[in-house]
Amino acid sequence: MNSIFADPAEHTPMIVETAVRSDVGMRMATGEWIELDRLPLSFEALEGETVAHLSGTASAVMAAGRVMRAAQTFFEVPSRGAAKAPTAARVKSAAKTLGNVLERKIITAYMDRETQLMRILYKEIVLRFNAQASAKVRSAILRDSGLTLRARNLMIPDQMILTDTGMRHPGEELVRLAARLSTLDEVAFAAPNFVSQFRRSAPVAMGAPSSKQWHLRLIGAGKAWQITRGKRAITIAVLDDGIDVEHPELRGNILRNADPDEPRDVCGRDFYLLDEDVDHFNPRPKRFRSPFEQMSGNDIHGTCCAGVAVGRGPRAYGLAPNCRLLPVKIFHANDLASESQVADAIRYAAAFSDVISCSWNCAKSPDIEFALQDARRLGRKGRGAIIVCATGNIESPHESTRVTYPASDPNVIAVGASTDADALADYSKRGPQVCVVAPSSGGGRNIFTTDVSTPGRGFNNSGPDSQFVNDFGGTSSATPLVAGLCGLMLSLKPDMTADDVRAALIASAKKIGPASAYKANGHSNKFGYGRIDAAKAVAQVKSSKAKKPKPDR
Amino acid sequence: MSSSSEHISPGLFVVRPVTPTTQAAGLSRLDGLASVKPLSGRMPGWVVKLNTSPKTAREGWRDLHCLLGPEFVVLPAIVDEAGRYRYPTGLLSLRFDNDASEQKLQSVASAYGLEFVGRAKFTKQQALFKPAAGSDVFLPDVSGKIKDDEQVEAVWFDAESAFTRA
Repeated sequence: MNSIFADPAEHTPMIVETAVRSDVGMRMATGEWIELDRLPLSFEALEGETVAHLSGTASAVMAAGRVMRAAQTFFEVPSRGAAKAPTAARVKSAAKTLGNVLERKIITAYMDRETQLMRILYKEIVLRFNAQASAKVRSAILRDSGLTLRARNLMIPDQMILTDTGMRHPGEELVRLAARLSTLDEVAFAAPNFVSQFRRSAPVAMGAPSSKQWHLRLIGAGKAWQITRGKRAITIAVLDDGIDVEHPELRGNILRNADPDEPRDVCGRDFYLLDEDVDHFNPRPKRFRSPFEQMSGNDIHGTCCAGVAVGRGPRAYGLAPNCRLLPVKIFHANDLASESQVADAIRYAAAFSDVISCSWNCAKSPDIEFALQDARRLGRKGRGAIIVCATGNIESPHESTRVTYPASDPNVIAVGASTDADALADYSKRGPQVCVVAPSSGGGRNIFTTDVSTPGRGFNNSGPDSQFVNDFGGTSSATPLVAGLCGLMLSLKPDMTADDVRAALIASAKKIGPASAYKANGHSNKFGYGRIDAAKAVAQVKSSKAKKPKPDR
Repeated sequence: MSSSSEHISPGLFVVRPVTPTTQAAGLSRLDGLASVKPLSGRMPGWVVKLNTSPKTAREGWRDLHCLLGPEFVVLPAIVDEAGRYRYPTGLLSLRFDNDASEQKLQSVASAYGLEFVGRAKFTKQQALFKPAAGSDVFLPDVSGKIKDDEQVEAVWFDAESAFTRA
């Protein structure tokens, strides 16, 4: 049996989602410090079977399965039987059937906080000396470390793999030793030789928006993307009538297993249905009826909104093509929906995402008011979830022009619509709550974005281009565009509070329309503080001083 | 919260079956007396408008309650400040200042003749209640009493409503 495992008594599990600032991590060659969260895992080797179980909460059941498979491959944990899901009942039953536990092991595994990829500790450290380090100093460092040289890198003679054959640095001690070594002047870098999980993912979104995506060009997306296209650590939740999670330009961005306590939460949820419903964990569009291209009666709105925020391209880019997407279905076509379920959806989104995009309106509801308040107060570990809401469209001459709910709520950023000519879209609702406007339909051109990809469904449901739509619009489209911009800003400065993000949107907005539309404080009931300017917003955030991280991180 | 800016509709009601097996045929008692339309939400229910305009919601509730009997729950529809309707489910949502203990939830339930239904999924400050089985109450009366209770931050009717894509 491999001897890399620490004594269980030394195991002090840390639950992943407590998200306290970790003193365990590794320093990259660039000096960047990568924080690692410990996964509380242990393995019991029964007669012919390995059963993984968690010593903390059941927060990492899926991770446990992955660690177990990796452990079986790399660390010779017995695996004659099929891998068993880590349930207490199974452990008990297996022990009863197969006999005594032969060996109990702890595997030291971590989750990279930013990428959520797993790293399992092996008994080795990779170390590279600076070229100037003398042979004498190198020998002294190696001797003091208690590690033995296993191999030199054939390409880089200064780099080597050191191994802890004597088990002098069990478990986390090895991580700390690597961190200490990395601080030495003579050492270019030192990091545990983790067995790491690699995620096969779609390549990073590249390229520039086509002329079809005029709205991105108008707000300077190209310039903004020279600074950032978004980070995977930032997630935008789109709450709507369902999202086509198989769409080729969305699926690579779907946040997987958002709630680590809920293994069924694979790609988002449907809060129209109660969680005991089998389809609760399926956020895809579900309701369709003829005529399929009409929004009324069809779940075809959310997929378009999602594309505007986080479409990966190359056909339909979102403004934040490298941020993640949390699909949250809250209503089915035109059906009435439960306000308490929608409130739950908002709190869920606040718990597992950074930006919440709401391209809909409803009656003013205490349940939703409290949920928005909670999201704004508690989301992003107290920094506040950024909630962007559509001001609403004036559909008929008799309809009120006032900003609808929830855009009128003080906890959200209310988004109106402007046109390709930088004029106010006639349909965009007005009022003191309007924060910014963003380009959408209403001028000469509409919005090109993702459409439901199921054949025969969606706004554009026939022909070779039916996975995309060229005539999306309304404040529905303006809203996820602002959500995307918030995602870009948070990608640069994840410690920004919701107030900071709002202030940055306002400070960078471009005044469009007549100067007389704006009051002395710079606000207009029609345009808010102006039309968003992605290039300026991102540049300003980039050049702003970094905030000191809060102690709870 | 918004409960102060909304009002109860005097003429529009929501009727919901007490049990899933309740037959919609019972609504035929309203033939000629009211217009009845099914609600489109997940929960079964109908929106009912009496042909005669009741003076108050309570009066309309009483009339409908007498006509339909105990198989149906009758609730007045709610109108928000923008004139949009909310259709109560028959449950009351209560929010507490802090995470509510089981003991507190039970004591509130017994004080107001309610039955605890469940906590909100993502906040421990909120829970849902319904009138105890067999009770014959005008739900706005119960919520009015609870509003004055210092241990409750807010109370409102759980409702379904229309969500309009923008």
